[in-house]
Amino acid sequence: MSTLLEQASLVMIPSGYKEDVVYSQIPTNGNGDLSFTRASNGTRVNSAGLVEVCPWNFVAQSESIGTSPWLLNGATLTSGQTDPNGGTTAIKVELASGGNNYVYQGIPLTNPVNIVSAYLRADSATTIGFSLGGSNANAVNLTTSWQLFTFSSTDTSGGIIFDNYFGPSPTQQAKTFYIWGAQLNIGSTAKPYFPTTDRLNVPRLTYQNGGGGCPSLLLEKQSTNLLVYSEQFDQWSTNGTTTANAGISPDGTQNADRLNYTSGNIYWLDASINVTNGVSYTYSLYVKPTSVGNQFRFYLDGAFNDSTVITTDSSDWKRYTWTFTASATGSINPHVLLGYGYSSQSILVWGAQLEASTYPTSLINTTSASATRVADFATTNNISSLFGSTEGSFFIEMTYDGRNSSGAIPLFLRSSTNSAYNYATYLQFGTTNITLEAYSGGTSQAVISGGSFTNGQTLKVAFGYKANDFVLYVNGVQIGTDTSGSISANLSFIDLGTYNQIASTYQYNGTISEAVLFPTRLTNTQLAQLTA
Amino acid sequence: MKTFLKYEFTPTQWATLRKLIEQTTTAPDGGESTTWKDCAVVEIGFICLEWGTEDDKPVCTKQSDKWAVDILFYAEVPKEFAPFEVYPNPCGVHTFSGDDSLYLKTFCAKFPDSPYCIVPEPKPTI
Repeated sequence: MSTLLEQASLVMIPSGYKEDVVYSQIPTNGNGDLSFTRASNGTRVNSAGLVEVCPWNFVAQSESIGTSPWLLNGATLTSGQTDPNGGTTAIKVELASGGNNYVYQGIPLTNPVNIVSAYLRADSATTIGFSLGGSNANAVNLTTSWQLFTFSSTDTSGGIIFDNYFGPSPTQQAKTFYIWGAQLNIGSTAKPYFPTTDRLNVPRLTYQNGGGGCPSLLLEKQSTNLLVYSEQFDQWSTNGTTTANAGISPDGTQNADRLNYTSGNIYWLDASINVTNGVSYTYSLYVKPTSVGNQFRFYLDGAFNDSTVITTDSSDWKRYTWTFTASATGSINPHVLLGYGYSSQSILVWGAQLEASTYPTSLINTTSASATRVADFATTNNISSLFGSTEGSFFIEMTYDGRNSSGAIPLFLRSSTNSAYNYATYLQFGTTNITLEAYSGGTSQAVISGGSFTNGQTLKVAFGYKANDFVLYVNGVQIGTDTSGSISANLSFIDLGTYNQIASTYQYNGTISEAVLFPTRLTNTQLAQLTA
Repeated sequence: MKTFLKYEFTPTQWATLRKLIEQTTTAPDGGESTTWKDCAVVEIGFICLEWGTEDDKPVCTKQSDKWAVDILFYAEVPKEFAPFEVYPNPCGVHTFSGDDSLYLKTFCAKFPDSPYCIVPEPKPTI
């Protein structure tokens, strides 16, 4: 395998990333890096097996203090200052005397505990205000050396502020100091610093099976969590009681709520949502029961009634899901029920989601409004020099999801001549099989289709292409050959996740753990070896 | 440069304006596929303006006759959309996950004196 990889012109094994970019291991000059697009937050499973918002740093423009959404009052900023790493990305802040002068960024906070950090120094020892939230000022003593200041707070009323307003009798003196690397993450443990600009387009390298192992790139369709207060069940209506922040949740912080049950019939009701007749929806909820076998019920009423009873089968946290199809258009009331004749005890809950989808997607956290995660997409720049001009091969390892893969295009090799499918070479899933199709100049040149896969199966797919010589392998087995046709002309781009960034119909929902381009047509033996 | 804006249209207005941000592409299955161009769109629909209760359950007693749409533009916003912008208090009934500050930016440019746009003043207790 490693010998074969040495023949590759591009190797992308998801490991290194930053905002907007997934790094490729080959080539090392950055030409093969993938631009990543998802103009919203999303969640992943991190290496510790915890559900985590990407990016976990809630501060935008963490190294560009002064750029929106930072707000300034009585502050003069000078960029290009020496930072703790020897670079020049720190910012000098000069606060004028008098008034409540500040550098501030408002950050909506809902987690009960959050931790903030920043590297700070001054030209001479001084004290400034460095606070989180709007209720208590926090004074920090700066020296002439960079120091990382970190503190946690339960104040969720505001954002992060550096100011000259602190102490029992604020003197509001002029202050000069330097800032670098501001961060805020949920919980009481500071995570490694993650630099941000607009906090958008952050790839999700996920460890879907509970942490450990190697990560893979998570690619999902756009989806909206129609429920509000997805983690704050004390905001749901109930005829019982809710204990907020009663346990450690799947995100590793003390923000799981307990739905208390003693006897009778108890409901928890979220805000009403509008649904459309004939559309399928999936209701999901993370639950940790008192004991295995505890039951709860997903229940809907309003425009129509429907429900299902869930029997827990794990004593640990598990995400339980229910997919239903709306039988009327209108407003429905989503509930979680305990009692009603079922074997109920109190349960810990977290991460409720209801989305217009036939399967659950990753959690989209909500507060007072429903929220949308937009689709993931990754593409290269024009890398025509990495493609062979007359032949080539491609290897991709991914997880097949039989619930949602039909029609999905996980890999699209795009021509510089025309971005349409009928100038490209691509893989497309059927209901249980996969198809390799190559077009050139608008005409189909080669089609190979086959295989029969099961849900959740890891697929190692490789194909080779050369004039009148196409072949497709999956998991060591030759799916087929096509001995007639030209290769796609002017292949220059690699798209991961969908076809030409259009239509959710083609959106691949799943993970990709490796993508490798070869400039030559590997032998069938080599392709079999790659996919074995 | 991304811009998060909220709109209300009559169904007819939306049917006309949506064409400005749609693109049609021939699909691998041979058909035509229409998708959004340089933006993400969430059609919220007819928002409930007033709620009542019936058997202790919420019931919408007054529904807007306008079709609410949230759009996250990745490029320049078509000027034809401007008359239909609405500015509910942040972030209304829907947001794009993590993009609240984008909406707050446009909201505060419109309403700089809103309580949502004023920096909280820490209490000098330490």
